[in-house]
Amino acid sequence: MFEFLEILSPGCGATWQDEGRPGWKRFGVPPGGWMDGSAAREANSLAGNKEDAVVLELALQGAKFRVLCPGWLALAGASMGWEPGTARRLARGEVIDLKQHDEGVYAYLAAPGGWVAPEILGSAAVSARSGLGRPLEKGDILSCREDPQRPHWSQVGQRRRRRMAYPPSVEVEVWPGPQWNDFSKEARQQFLREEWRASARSDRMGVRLEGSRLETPPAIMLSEPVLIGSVQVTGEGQPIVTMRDGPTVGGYPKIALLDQGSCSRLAQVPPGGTIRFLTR
Amino acid sequence: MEWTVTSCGPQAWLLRFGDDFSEAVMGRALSLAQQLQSNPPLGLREFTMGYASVLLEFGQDGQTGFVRLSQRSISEVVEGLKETVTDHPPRPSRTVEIPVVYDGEDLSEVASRTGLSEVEVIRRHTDRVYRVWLLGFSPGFPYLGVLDPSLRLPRRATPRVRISRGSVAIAGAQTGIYPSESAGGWHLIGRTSRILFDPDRRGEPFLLRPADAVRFVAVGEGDV
Repeated sequence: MFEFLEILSPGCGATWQDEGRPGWKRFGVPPGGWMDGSAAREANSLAGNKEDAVVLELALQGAKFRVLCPGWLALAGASMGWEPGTARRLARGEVIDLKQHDEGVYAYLAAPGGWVAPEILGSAAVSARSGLGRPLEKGDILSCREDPQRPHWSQVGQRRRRRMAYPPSVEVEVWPGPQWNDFSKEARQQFLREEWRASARSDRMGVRLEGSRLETPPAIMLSEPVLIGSVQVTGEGQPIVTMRDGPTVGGYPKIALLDQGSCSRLAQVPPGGTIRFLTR
Repeated sequence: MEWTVTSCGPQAWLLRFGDDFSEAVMGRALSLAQQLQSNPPLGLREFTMGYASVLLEFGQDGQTGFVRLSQRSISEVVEGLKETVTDHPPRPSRTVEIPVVYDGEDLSEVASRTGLSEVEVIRRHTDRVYRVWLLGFSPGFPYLGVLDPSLRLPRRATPRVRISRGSVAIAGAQTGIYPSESAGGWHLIGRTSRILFDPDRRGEPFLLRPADAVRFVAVGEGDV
């Protein structure tokens, strides 16, 4: 175990994440895990790790670290003033200040061997709202499993890939949700026509969308299981897309469903960005 | 009611097997959960219970690689389940008492909307023995049925962004307890100090299990 970084500021949210904990939904435990799987895996690959190693997930901006020992650190996903999709060699005492917010929402930091993080119910994924771990705080020391000076890859500096783009406006394909037919024809057309705005109240539980009020069927009396990617419509007629830490069961009608890839893209739309839904 | 199957994207199906809060539907739900746990269909990655529905998620399977079911093979899975599932709810193996301080933010609103006094709302909430129909929403959140008909209100139009741990709440024919701080749309009537979910509690992270019997007991601030 190698003490690598100290948190000077966790920014808008810093949590351990991995692929999550499938198999516990029937106890009410959300699967959790990284919000953008492709970016998280890219960070691991840049650090020479297995795809499923524990990464540090950062949200939006403001995270700041002090380097405790020299070594390599990889960053992928959102752009926070450090070019995503690159690994950098850091010197002892250096301060990494990710205060900018250029593009995307979630960035992933990977260190050689993966980060050392406590496991709960078989996964290191932190879901603070579910009582599974806690977000990282100022003063926390982050350790990695291997010597950060000696990552497992041979082509240092040649790992750069085509940079992922995170546009502030996206179009995503949807499947009909379980209550699609309970919504009026007008509501369904409006749902597909509207340019929905991502709310600043979005988080790991759900991406909240704002737009004209959708006419909704009544709430379901018998609460039903919820799939990640479900577009639930609240009594106010505003959609919430259920994300990794979202509730496993709920009563709001679900107009549509997003697949995993679309959830990852949606997660990277910043507050104020727009989303349009297309039928498949 | 006939069982219905609704596809939810390419890898998941929602089975509905009831449309009311009857003992028969609860029995079917508990029997189905037991069957899926002891004898899961090939490639089932996850199942999640609702009151009268179950979500079956298929995916990666260790032996066979990627399992992609067709509408036809899901029908066979459902037929197989229907043959083994019964309507008889198992007897509760235990009764768990939950002490509650009834001072929830929505208690007065619940009283005025139901036309009852606050004392009467509390009396009717503590008057019956509930069953844990399922755990869902957040870790260890028990959906308890069924609530006195006079206390049934629709969910709040706007869900709260933050509800504190231990809050006791009602919505529709349901009552439940928030095991951790979370968002939610139910009416808050009280709070308990019992810990419903503790991931560090070895072997038994969840206080309540499906099919348990539950009784709420009104207590004062000092007793909780």
